[in-house]
Amino acid sequence: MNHDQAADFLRVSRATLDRWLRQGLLAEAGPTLAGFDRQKLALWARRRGIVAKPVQQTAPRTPAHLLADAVERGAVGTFEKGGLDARSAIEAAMAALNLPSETKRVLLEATLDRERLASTGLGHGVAIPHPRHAHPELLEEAWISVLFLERPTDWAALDGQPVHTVLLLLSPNTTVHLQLLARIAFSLRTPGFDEFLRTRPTQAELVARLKDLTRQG
Amino acid sequence: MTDSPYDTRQPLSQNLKARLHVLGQPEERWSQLLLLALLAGLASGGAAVLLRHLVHLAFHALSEARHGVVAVLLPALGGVLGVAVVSKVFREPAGHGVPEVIRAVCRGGGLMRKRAMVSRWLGSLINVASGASAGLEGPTVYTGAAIGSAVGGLFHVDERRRSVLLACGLAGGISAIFNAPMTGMIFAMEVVLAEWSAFTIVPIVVASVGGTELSRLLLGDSASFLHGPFEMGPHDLALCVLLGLVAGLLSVLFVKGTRFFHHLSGRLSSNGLVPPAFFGLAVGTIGLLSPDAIGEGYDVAQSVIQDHLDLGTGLVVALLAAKLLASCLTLGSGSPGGIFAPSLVIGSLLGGAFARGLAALFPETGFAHPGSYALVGMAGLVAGVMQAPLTGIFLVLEVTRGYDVILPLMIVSVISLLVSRRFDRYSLYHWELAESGELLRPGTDQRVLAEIALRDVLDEDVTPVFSDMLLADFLVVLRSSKRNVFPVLESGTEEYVGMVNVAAAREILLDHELVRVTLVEEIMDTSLQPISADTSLTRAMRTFEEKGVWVLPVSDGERFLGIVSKSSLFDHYRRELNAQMPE
Repeated sequence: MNHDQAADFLRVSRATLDRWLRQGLLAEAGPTLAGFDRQKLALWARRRGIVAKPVQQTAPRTPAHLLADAVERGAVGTFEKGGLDARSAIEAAMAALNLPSETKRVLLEATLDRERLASTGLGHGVAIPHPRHAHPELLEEAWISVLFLERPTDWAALDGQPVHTVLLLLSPNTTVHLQLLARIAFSLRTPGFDEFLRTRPTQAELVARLKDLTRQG
Repeated sequence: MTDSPYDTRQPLSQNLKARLHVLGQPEERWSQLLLLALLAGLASGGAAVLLRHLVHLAFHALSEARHGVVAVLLPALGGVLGVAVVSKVFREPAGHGVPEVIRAVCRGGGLMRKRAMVSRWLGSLINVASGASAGLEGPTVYTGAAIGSAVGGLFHVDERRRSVLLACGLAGGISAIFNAPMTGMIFAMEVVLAEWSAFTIVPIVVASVGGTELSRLLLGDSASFLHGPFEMGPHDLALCVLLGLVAGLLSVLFVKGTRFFHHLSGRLSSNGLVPPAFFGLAVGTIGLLSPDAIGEGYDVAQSVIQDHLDLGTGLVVALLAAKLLASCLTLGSGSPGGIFAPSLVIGSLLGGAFARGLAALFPETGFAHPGSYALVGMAGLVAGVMQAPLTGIFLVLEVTRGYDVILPLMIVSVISLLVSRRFDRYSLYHWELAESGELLRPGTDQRVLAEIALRDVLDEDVTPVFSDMLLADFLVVLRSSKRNVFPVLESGTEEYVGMVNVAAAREILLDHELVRVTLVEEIMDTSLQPISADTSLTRAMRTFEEKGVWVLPVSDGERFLGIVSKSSLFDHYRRELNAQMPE
C-alpha cells in the first residue's frame, strides 16, 4: 500500500505518518519509497497497540426508493365497512400482507403492544402503527400495508383528527425504521399529499407518486 | 477542592500542622529517605555477606563427603530441601525471585511480604551449599528487596518511596556480595527500577555505599577476582567483536536451555519437589564427572582469569558445556539460586577457551593474556543473559578492578546484547512479566492505563432515559442537558438496553410531529454492549477504537453504572502521566 493508504490504515493523517517516518518510529514496519507491506504494517501496529482500520465493511446502502419499495412489496387496500376501531384496522392491514401467518401473528401482537404504549396517530388523518422492537429474524426487508378507511376512525391522534389512512410499518431493523419514518413525515408535509391519500389511490398509483417524491427530495 | 487535606474551618494551629504534614520540609523528607536507604543497604548488605560466608563454609565442609553416591545425591537433596523451604515452609513461588521483585515495583507499589526476607536466603543457602550450579545473587536481590520494602513499611513511607527503598535494599545486597557499589546501583536502576532520576539515584547510591562499606569492614576490601595487569592491543579489540557474537549466542543458549528445563519440569510433575530431585541427580552426576561444573563456581572463574586452569582447549570447552548444562538444570528446576554466578563462570570459561583457541590457531601472534579474555567473556555473558549491558560492564570492572580492559568489555557487552535481543525481546528477568502484561515501567502508556481504574473515569452523572419515553418527552431532557449521548434503560427493570446518539437521530428529533409518535427505543442504538466496571483501561481503549465510538456504557452485570467517554479518559490519562513523570 502507498503512504496515503498506510496513513488511512493506521487512522492517522498523512502528516503524522510522514513525521513517524522521519522520526524512525516506523523503521520496524519496513517502509520503502513505494510504501508498506500491509502484513508488516499490521504487525507493527499490533505490537504498538495501535488499532488499525478493520477490513472495509461496506454499510448497506439505503435504496433510493425505500418507502415506495416497501409499499410495492406490501399491500394497499380500502376497508369499506364502517364502525372500525384502531385494533381491527391494524388486524385488517396486517392480514392483507403476503407474509407467513405465524410471522403476522407475532408482529400483530408486537404492534398492539406498541399502540398500548403511545398512539401512533401522526396527524393529517394518518396513523403509522408498527411493532415494538425490530424483528430482524422475521423480516429481511421493510413491508408497508396501506389501509384506507371508508369511515375515518378515532386514533387519539396528535391533532385530534380521525384517521383515514393507516400505514402499517414493518421494518427489519432500527435504521430502516428511522429512514421510513423520516420519509413518511417528509411525504406528508408535501403539499397535496394528504389530499392525494384521500382519493384512495391504487397500489401502482401510490408507488409511482412516492417515487416521484423521492426524486424531488 | 474536595481533595484538600486541610479544612479551612479548622483552627489555624491544626490547619498549619496539616499543611506541614502534607508539604513537609524538602530537606526533612530527603534526610528521612536517605537514612532509610542507608538502613536498607546496611541490613541487606549484612544479610548478603552472611549468606555468602555460610555457603562457603558449608560447601567446603561438604566437599569432604563429595564422593560416589553421596556426590550424586547431594545436589538433588539440596534442591528438594531448598524448594521445600521456599515453597512449602514459606509458601513462596519457586525460582530465583528477580521477576517477583520487578513485579512488586511495577504492580505492587514496592510491597513485598516480610517472609521474603528469609525464604530464599535460607533456600539458596541449602541449595547452593549442596552443589547446585547457581549463584547467591538472585536470592540476595530478593532478600535485599524484601528488606528494603520492610524498612519502608516500618516507617510508613508512600509507595514510590517504598519502591525506591526496595531498590536500595537489593542494591546494598549486590554491592556487598561483590564488594562492588557501582554494580549494585546500576543493576537496581537498569534491571529493576528503570527510572533514572535524582529521586532514585541518590538513595540507591547511599545504600550501595552502605552495603559495600559493611562488606569491607567484615570481609576486608579486596577485589573478588585477582588478576594481573592486562593489556589488550588493537588486534585483541577486533577479535572481541567475534567474542561478543559468540557470547551473545551462548547467552541465548543459556536462556533457552533454562526455559526448556523449566517447561520440562512443569510437565514432569505438578509437585514442585519432583523436578529438583530429578534434575539434582543429573547435576550430581555432572559434578561427579567434572567437579568444577557445580556449585557457585567462582573458584573456577578465578583460576581461568589467573590462567591457572591446566586444561587444553577441548577440556575447557567440555567444562563449559558441563557448567552450562548443570546451570540450566538447576535454574530450570525452580530451585532457589541466581543467574549471576553461572553467567560469570560460563563467561570466564568462554573467554578462556577463546584465548586458547586463538593461541592454538595462530601460535606466532602475541595475544593478550587469556585472563583478560576471560574477563571480557564474563561481561559478555552477563550483558547477554540479563540484557543489561551496563550491569555487565560495571560488574566485571569492579570485581576485577581491571580498568585496563574497559574497551573490550564495552564492545563485547553491547554486541552480546544485540545478539541476545535478536532472539528474545525480553531478558530472563522480564520475559515472564512482559508475557502477562505486568512489565509496566513508569511514564509508559501501559503503566498509565494500568494505574487508572475504569471507575476513576466513570461518568455517573448521566441522565438515563427510558425506552418507552416519547421523543417529545425526551426533548425536554435534551434541552436541559449538555450531552449528546444518552443511555436508555428498560422501564421497570432499569436494565441498560441501548444508547441514543442525538446526532444520529437528528432528523427525527427535529420533526415536531414524529417526536410525538416515536419512542426512545425506536431511535436507540442497541449494538453497543455495556462493558464491565472491572474492564482494564487498555481493553476499554481497544473497544473504543474497534467500535469507532466516543462513549461506552458501563454496567456491573445487571445494574447500569454510567458511561465512560474517550475525552474524559484522555483527560485522566494526561493528568496521570504528568503525575508519574520522574521529577
